[in-house]
Amino acid sequence: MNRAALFIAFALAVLAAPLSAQTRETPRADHKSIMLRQLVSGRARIDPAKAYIFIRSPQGRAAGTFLKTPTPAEIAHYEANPQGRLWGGGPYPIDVNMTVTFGPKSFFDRTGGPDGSFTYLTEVEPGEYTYLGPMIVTTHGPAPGECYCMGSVKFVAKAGQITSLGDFLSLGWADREALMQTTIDPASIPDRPAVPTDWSVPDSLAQYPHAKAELRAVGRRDNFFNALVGRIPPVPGVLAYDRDAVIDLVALAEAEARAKAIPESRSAPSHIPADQP
Amino acid sequence: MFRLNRTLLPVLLLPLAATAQAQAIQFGPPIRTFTQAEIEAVEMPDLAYEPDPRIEADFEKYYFFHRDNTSFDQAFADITECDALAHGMTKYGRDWPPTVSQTTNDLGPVLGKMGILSGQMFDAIFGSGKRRWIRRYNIRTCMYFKGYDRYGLEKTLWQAFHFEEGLGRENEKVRLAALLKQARVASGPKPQLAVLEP
Repeated sequence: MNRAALFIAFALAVLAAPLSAQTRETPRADHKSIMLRQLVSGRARIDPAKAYIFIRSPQGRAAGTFLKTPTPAEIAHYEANPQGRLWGGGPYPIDVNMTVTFGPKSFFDRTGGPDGSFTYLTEVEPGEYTYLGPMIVTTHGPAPGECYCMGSVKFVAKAGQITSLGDFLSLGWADREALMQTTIDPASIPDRPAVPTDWSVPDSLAQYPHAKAELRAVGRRDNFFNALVGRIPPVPGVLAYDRDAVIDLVALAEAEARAKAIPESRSAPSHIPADQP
Repeated sequence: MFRLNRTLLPVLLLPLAATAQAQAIQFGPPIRTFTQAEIEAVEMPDLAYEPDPRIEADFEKYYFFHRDNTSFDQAFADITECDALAHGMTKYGRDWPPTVSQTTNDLGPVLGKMGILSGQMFDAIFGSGKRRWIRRYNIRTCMYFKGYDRYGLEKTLWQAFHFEEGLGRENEKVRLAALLKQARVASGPKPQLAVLEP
């Protein structure tokens, strides 16, 4: 028996195991994949108490990782839980237990063969989720994939609702100029036109409450899984970059709207002089 | 390509203007402030070498960064941030300074004791060379995002104020001394060398 092959096979099997299985005694972001056939057969259902994240990959399988924003109760539990300190040294970041992964194996549905469209439906706890990037979580060593450590997006997944990211995570919406801001390797940028994001859910999910994910910008984050460092391309109306500074365009628009509203409201009472303090 | 991108950047950011800065998402600790005496105490490394195709062939590994109109304080903050990201360390977390920070590098051996996965197993597969490559890639990416230019350097000159990092972690004193010199160069006079691809 080739010992090296056995060694590698074992290691890959371990790498494929969900991180949560290794930290099950500590607070964690529960999640599971839902398959269409489970939904049809009744072995799975859309639980009004849970939230659901829908993702479409137009060309082949995909995988990625989210981070659930821990609730104050989860933070308190984590900080008080001695389990996190059993492993020697200081406690690891709570984020390690807040990971939610999807793909590449357990897809919801597929069309058009291995290079066709794959969809993923993940049941999660209601809450706020940040896209950590197209990476697979491992507990040691460089994580395969890219961490959007220097700029990404977040959204809220509401209870009883399917929150659709559509094919947004495939970045088909990003043009060459946007992608140029994300890599030191321009040769890796695909030569193709940008296409609008398809936020729709398939017919099999249309009967359930569903909504497009409302994205917000998030700033930089530690590279605690030691992946390749990267960032999401600038997202029109959501996120821009000033060098490495992440600009929250939604907050910017809100601030500008407030600034615009203030002079108008001040000018409303016509009997008050404009220069009166 | 790099220059095209840098040319485009101000255009892309035109609508943002000053108000956008107020919406820049804040992170991490305040940057460290150095006195002029502290800065001058950091030795300026030798960057002079005769152009040679054999030297240029190694520019993927041996290089330094520089950005115009950048203070030593800012350069040091940028370089230490990119160094931390490249190593996978906790930098922005709530626990700064990272007295209780823990990286997954530290988790590996512990999980290994539990029969799950050891660092030795992982690195036996992927190797130190892969880790060194990842570190170089991450630092280049991070410094590119920050708008620094990259310049090639002769190997022995590079070794005087840089370090490679694979499976282990460089001695902290050596690390700090190297990062300080890198900040001195990054914020120093503009190099009379060709700017490389990022």
